[in-house]
Amino acid sequence: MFGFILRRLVSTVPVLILISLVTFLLMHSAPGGPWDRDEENGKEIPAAIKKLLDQEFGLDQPLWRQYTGYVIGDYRNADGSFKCGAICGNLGPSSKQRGRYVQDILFSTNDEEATWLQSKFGFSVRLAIYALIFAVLLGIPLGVIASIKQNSVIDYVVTFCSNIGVAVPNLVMGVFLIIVFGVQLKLLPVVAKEWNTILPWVLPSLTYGLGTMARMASYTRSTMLDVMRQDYVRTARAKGAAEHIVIWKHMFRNTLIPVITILGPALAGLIVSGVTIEAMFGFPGMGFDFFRAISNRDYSMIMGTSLLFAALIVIANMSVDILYGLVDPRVRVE
Amino acid sequence: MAQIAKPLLQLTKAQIDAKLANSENQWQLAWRRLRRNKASLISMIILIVFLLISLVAPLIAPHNPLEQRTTNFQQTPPFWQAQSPAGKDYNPSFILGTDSLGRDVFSRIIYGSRTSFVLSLLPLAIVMLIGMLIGFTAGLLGGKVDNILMRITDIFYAFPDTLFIVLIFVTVGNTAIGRMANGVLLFALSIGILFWVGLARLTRGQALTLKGREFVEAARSLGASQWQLMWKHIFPNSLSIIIIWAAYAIPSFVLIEVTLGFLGIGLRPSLDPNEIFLTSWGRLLLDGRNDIQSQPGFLLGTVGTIALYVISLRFFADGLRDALDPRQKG
Repeated sequence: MFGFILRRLVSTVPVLILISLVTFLLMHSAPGGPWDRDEENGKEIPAAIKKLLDQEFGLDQPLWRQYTGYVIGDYRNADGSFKCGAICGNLGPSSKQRGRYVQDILFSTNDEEATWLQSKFGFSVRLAIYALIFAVLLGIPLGVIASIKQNSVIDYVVTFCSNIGVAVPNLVMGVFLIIVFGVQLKLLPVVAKEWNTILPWVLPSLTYGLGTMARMASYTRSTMLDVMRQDYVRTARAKGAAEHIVIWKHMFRNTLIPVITILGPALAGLIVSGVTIEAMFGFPGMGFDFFRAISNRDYSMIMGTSLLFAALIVIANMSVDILYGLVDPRVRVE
Repeated sequence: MAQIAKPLLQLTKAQIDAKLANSENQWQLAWRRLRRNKASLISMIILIVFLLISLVAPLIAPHNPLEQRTTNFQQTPPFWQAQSPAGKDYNPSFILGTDSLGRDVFSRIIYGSRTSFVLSLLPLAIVMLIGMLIGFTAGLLGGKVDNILMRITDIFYAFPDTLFIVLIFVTVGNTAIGRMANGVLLFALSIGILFWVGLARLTRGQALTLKGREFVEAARSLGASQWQLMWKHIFPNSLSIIIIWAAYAIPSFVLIEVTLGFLGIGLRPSLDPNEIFLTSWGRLLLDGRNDIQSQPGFLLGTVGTIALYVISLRFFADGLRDALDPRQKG
């Protein structure tokens, strides 16, 4: 098991290197740099100051050195000593929010008492977790009920709703929810100012999780129907096991194995779709920050955030692989 | 077996030809199954209507989609609210009302369908080209080539795709390629570069399975080249699976445009009435989101259209899957 986990960990390294390299090259092929316009007065920065800024941020170095300097580190401190790069968790200074480092922007807050949960990263993670909890806690039981009562009214309703839920993009679903609950019924805030109470979280998490929930429900249902016809279920019934034991111990447990496999893509999808959901609800997470950094040409911010996104996706896929290996021993051998 | 085979052997060649002419081939059979499926038939009709609308948009649109009216001319749909707050009657020819610049929403949605239709098919062509080329090559040649190609595929698989399309648009969006056709071309290209992975894996698997089948072995022993094997035997036998994959991929292409447009980085806004891609649904979604309090009809109309289009695509894909490959039926 240890070897299996180690192999999966090592295989993520080339992926991360390539992602950071492509991001870096794309970013530098973009016309215009971070000093192109000053937002406050719209004036151009004088060439001499531009040169100083380039030196300060290391943009005067050749491209390869900028890249290695960002990822591994470079002798760039004022006294010529070594400054560690992204592998030490240093994501570089932000060129738009002067004086702050990317990791500070993402992981900490101005408030001294607040924990990391109040940071941009914490907000995004919490939203994704709420959405996933909602999707799993509602999607799987719905699928189980629908399969047990196959061809009943409940089954048809669940199947129809999950078909619609899979087909309708969560952006569209979010708009519907905003119009119904926010604009017409005025039950929930459209754009929240405070995120301390539970109400403003309801719509984003619902929107976020609905597609995943529908996919969970339909997948659980079809897997349950498959498992139901297996011989060991008939054996369990024949030996006189109570119906709820047959359902939960024999059928449901074996249903979980394939259901776990779609958890990985679901998690990765949640992380990426965060950008739009956060933009729609004005959510103070890192997805929205990523979007703003792109239009600001904030190089190290784009680099840092997309590396973080990529790492999260890779970790999500990997942890599901490992989970799968734990549940189903056959996987480990390969 | 002998009882069936004997009468067949006694038939003359002309009789056999006649029998074969009467029998249905795979595609006729699939078409018959597809027609029987009501949900997919209805969605197919809806999709055809969308295609027609996008082709003859100038004839159908009740107003010029670019014509701006006076600054305070923003009206909610007449069925939603018959009169403005000042007590003036709303013009019923603006079916879904107007946006904040006084442009007719309904006409803009009709013109937006052009973009979405092209964006469903153009990226698909690129994805198919790359995906099939890599997948079939890897599966047919095997060995080292297969190993290298599959490592590359694995790396692309782990790429956060939406994130990268956002990056591509922000970085290359202002160059000559990015400006072509208001960004539609760049869009198709970037999807093509990122989305071939699934198809490559699928076609590789197909090539590997079919390679071991008797009819391919027979063709090879008769001296067929790799190229002939691929075009004459492996490709036709994988076609139905490729079509099913494509049908499920199209909605995601449309949705990426919608997502990007909503973030304000999709297509370039156009003021030239001679251009084909004047606006897109993603762009309209963003505008509608900004007018949500004053003009909910705008957003509702756009969202309803997108939902109808995507749901039709999905249900059609379901029907296609059941018709072409009944074993996969879920």
